[in-house]
Amino acid sequence: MPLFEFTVITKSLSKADLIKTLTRAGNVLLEKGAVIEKVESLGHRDLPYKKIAKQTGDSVYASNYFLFHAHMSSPARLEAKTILRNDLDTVHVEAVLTPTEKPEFECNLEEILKPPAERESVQKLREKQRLCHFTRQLIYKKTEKEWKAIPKSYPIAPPRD
Amino acid sequence: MLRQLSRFSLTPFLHRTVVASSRACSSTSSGSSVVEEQHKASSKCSDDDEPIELSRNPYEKERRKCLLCKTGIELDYKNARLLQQFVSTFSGRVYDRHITGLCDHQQNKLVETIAISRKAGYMPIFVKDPKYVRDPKLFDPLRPLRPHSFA
Ligand SMILES: [Zn+2]
Repeated sequence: MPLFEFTVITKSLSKADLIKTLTRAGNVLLEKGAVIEKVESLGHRDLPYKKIAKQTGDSVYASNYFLFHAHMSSPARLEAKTILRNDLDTVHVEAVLTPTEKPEFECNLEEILKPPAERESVQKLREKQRLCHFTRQLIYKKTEKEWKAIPKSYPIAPPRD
Repeated sequence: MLRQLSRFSLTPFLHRTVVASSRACSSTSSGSSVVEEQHKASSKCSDDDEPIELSRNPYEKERRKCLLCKTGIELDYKNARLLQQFVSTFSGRVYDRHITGLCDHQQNKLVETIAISRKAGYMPIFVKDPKYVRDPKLFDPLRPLRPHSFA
């Protein structure tokens, strides 16, 4: 079962209400067959954007953040998320999947910093360049125009000394 | 130098110099078979004096790495303060890779993480949080790696 992190933001509540809300949220997860690994409090924070509490319609500017680390199946997560979102005491709920495997990669900044002629991506483009007939024609015409713009001789002969 | 001398060792008029060279590399120079001796010695010496071929260039510069790879910092959607250092103060949008100077993988991850963070309610969507506007700058948007596209 993949690990999900449930971010639960409650509206401003008294301590007793907060405990009730959190136990309710935890029970919802457990009913959906989750294994809760950890519950964290991220503290009382300013929200990044204003939220409106359900039913009362109060605007919430700062509130408590909680994090549930729960192992559960993906469909169960969706159900749990909808239930938690419809809870009257929550303001915002989101479940984020924690990736188990980190993909291996190599930093290619050196490649990016190279001039375009030496870059591999550009060389690939060059190898598989696909110019249609009209583009080739266009380039030819442009070059021809430039070439013809160079004066071959003086329009008026330079004066003799 | 020695190799050059050994090449000339068969010619009679260069005899003296060759003997000197053979003395230099090994202390065997006496008798009639000087030429043979010096031949052996010079061949032995030439093995030692062959130019060494290194497997890699010792003067090669170290590969430059991007900020996140160098410091080994993992991008996390909960770390909104770090993520907002990659966001424009003026437009609230994520800077492109020619400004941030990140490699392809890290830039893609940055954009993904910022999207998750905004969805999960850790980061404002349209603006940079005014609390973090005075955070230290990681890069200068007016001096990009490559010119802006303005597209
Ligand atoms: Zn990198």
